[in-house]
Amino acid sequence: MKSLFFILFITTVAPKAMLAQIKPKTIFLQKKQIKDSVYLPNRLFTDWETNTMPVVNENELKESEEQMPPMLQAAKDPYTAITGFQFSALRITARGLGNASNLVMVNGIPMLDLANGTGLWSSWNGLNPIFRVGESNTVIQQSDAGISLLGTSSNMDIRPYKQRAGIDIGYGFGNRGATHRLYLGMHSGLSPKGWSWGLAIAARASLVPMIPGVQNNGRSFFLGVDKKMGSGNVISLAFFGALMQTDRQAAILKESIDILGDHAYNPAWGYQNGQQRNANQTKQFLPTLLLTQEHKFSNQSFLQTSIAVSAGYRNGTGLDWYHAPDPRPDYYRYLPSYQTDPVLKEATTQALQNNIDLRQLNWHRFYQINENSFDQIINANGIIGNTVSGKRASYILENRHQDIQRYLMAITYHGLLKEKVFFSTGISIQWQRSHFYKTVADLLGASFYVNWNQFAESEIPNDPAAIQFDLQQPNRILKLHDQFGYDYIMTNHKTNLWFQTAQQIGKWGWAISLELGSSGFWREGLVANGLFPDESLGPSHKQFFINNGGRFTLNRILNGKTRLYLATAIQTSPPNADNVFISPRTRNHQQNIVSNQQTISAEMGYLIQSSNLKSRFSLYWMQVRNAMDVISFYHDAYNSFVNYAISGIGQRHLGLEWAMDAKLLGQWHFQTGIHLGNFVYNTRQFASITVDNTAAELNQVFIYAKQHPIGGAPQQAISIGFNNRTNGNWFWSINANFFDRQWMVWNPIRRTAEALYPVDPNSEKGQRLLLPERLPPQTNLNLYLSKRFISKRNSAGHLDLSMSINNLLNKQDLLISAAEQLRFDFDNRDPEKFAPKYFFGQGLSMNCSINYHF
Amino acid sequence: MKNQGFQIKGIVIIILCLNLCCEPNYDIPPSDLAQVYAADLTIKDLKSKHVTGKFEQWQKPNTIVGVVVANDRTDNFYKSIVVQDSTGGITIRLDGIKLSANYPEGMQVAIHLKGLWLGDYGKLIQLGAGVDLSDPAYPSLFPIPQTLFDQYLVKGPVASEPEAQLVKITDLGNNYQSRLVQLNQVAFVAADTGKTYADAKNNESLNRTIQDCNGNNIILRTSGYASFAPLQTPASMGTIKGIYSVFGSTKQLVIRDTSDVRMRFPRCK
Repeated sequence: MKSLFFILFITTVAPKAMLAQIKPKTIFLQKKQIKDSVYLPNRLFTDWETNTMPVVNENELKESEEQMPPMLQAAKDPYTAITGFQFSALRITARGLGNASNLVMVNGIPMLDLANGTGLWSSWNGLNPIFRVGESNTVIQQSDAGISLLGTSSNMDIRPYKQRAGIDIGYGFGNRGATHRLYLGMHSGLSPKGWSWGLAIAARASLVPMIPGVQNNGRSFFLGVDKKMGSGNVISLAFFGALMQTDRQAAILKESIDILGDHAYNPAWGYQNGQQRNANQTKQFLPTLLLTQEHKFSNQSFLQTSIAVSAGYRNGTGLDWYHAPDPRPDYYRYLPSYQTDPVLKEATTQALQNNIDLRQLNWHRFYQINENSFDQIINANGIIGNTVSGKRASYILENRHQDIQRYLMAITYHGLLKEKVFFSTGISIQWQRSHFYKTVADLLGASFYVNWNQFAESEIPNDPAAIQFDLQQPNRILKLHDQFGYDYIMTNHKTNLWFQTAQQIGKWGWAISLELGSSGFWREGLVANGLFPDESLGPSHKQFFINNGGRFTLNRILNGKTRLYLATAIQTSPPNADNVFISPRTRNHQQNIVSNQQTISAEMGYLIQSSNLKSRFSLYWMQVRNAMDVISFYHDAYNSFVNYAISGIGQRHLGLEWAMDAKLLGQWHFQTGIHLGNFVYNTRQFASITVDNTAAELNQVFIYAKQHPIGGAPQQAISIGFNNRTNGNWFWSINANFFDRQWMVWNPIRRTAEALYPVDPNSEKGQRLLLPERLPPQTNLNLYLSKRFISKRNSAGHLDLSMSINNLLNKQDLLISAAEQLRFDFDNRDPEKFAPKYFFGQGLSMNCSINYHF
Repeated sequence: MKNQGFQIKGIVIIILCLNLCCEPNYDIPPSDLAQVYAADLTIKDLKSKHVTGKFEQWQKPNTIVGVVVANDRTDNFYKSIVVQDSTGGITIRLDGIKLSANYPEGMQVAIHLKGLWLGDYGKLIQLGAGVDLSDPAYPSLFPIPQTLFDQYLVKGPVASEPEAQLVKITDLGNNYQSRLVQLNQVAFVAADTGKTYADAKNNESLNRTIQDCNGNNIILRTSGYASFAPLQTPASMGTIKGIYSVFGSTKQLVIRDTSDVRMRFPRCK
């Protein structure tokens, strides 16, 4: 509490005294171009390109599939400007809401994967100089960039005539993911006839993996052309895309770190003939064609219409195995902790320390086992009497596909409601079709694989057809690149109508934002599988939701540079399809009760924007109700895969944000950003447990989640930094960051009576089972240095040299996130049997770049 | 104009660079089945060092070489494989599941004995990695941890499995422990025909009795986890192959799957 009063004092009393002499001036709703060092230097190559995400379990996977950029929003908000990048190392998102609360648009078109709610940042990876946030819409700043009632909505205007004319050439070298990056971009500027065009290509490659087993490659392109007709009409066509290949880094057990002493240990790869090969490789390419038309009626009103089509894919490989030992080197049975005899414990530890083939994937072993894996398939390919024999794969590398088609339209109108009262309104329509299926990516030396669901084998005595993934062609023999397993289409649509206006009357101002939306989704199975012949093929029940929401903001200007504001918002939002379908890979079943999630929020803040001091202080409260989730895992008590369909999730987010950029002597700036959050679940959740193979309901349980902290990113973070810009065009900054109040993502199953019984919840063991692990406080230090050389011949030409070093102290144990495994030891209730997994960041990472503009 | 020439060159260079980052082509490793070590000890000699009811750790760097004759392919054997050479067979306890992928029937395996333990379970001689004294009344062998498999077992080429030794029920004694044997002209006793091999529903093992034409009996023991447990025993007479095993003084036969049972002839009268 003391620190809270101190902060309140600093932000309320001190600035008033400092700014007493400044004349009052209306700043609300003005688009100010601020060139001070609050803002990150424009980086050609940003750090988020290199992030690799942990894979802890399927449930986490769906949250982490999309790479998260650290800052693409609200650059004019001092808090985001200061903390956006500095807090990104530990994946802190605004107010703990994740990225779902932020809307990112390109020329007014929302860029969101409707199938799972993640942003499509990767669609323009490497093209950062073009895809820059032009305007943001936040609670403290209204613009035409759509609305996001609980977060930020940002728009990137990529039309060539809005880009800086000239040629940009860039080269970056470093040890973050990709080692080499290239960029070439050129923009013509507006010709006398009204034409303007732009072209850019970028590439990145890690010729030498900087993180063992992790290589990243990417290529991207942008083509754009505009035609200005008359004074107020512009038509633009853009075509862009980015092909990205990324190897995943797996989360690891504490035991592995103890044995190997290496926080960078990554069990996802192994040597194959001397070459590092990662089993979890993702590849995505989602090119987009975008047509935009803008019509200006007057200086105060315009209409912008955008239509876009995207088609591409997001794939990820992984190992699949049939009647063979688990290939993962850190599988619990392979570790010393599985041994009860101290001698064997020690022998196992030493074997892991001394033999790299035991601690990494053993590709040679997979080939060797496949070589000897002779089998005979009777009635192969559904043909009676057709027997196929040969090397039937025990291990394969499979490719999990999501083929995406998106059709999008957005219209934005900005106009005058009455004198000096602007409003903007718009509608966006999104339609997405995602085709999910698997193919055989590599047979690893075998001759074939069979389209069977091995998890259904236990059903065979009663139902011989249970193991068939495709009843129309049973016992299908699979060769390289053949499609197999699940095969379904998820169709999502979303329409959003929004309106906002704001007015400033004297010292008082208000703003109102409203939205009305509809959305829906359905699954269409393309194969009938043996487990659910009637529920797997064909369309599912179609979900349809109507949502609405609104936000009201009131502000009071205290003097020209400072103001107070109050805001409150209420919103309903639909659940994601993967939180409604219980097991979309096998059937059409959905949660019994499906409802909108409701969020109410309130915040108050204090804002200072002067040339010497920029600061925002906010207190916020947010309540989420009726959220849903579905998790699936192997249940040791039921001896089978089960699904937990969880509903009634409530969350309370309470917090304080404060940031300050103060100009000290000369060009010295002091920056600080503080976030003190308190995010907890505050309802008792309800789960219906079903057997994955039969959909039979086993039980209905409560999850005792009340007052449990929300796991994931740190809830408390502080950044302190200095920067300096010299007259010789040097710029440097150093920031120290402190993180605390971070809990691991906890397993809801452990917080049920069935998991705990008969352990006494108050006993030490009971507490160990119930209390989520709090992760240790952490610090990191980042440095950035740049120098600009201005061309003597051409005033617009310049050469930029820059170097950024993250984690300057080379802390190898910078913990990004951790999660309890979903699998739980129902026999002995030992939390360590399926121990939590941790994901660590890279040690010191550096990127140097040279960019030339002429 | 000057700029345009530069632009074109730039594009060409960049496109060339883009082509550098192509997909890696992983080499396919050779089928590197290890050169099997020469045996310097026979399985018979190894077993002769065991005293029933005791545990002996092997201290010398000896190697035995044998062929896998049984594994957990149908889950009738659990966490163990059976290896035999021309002199005898032995059961090796391995702490893993799906062992049949690693050690298919017919695979030649060299076993480095140094550090391993000899012991017995109901007089069936086994090799393991240590002695479990957690229940002092019934000490038992620890199976070899999966992580240590390659330290003790070297895999060789896979050939066809050895011919089963043709024996009579009355011949069967400790010399035949853990060997693949074949009995001719035998049938399930009348009370055990048309019954399931084991109780798959409750995962319980069951004994069925096999009899030759002279009225000599031997137990056929099958695990309730065996994939063929729910199948029914035949009523006719014929041959049966299996691994000879003992439990105390009870002589047992354990089959790998039902193709080991070939009974198509009329029963003895």
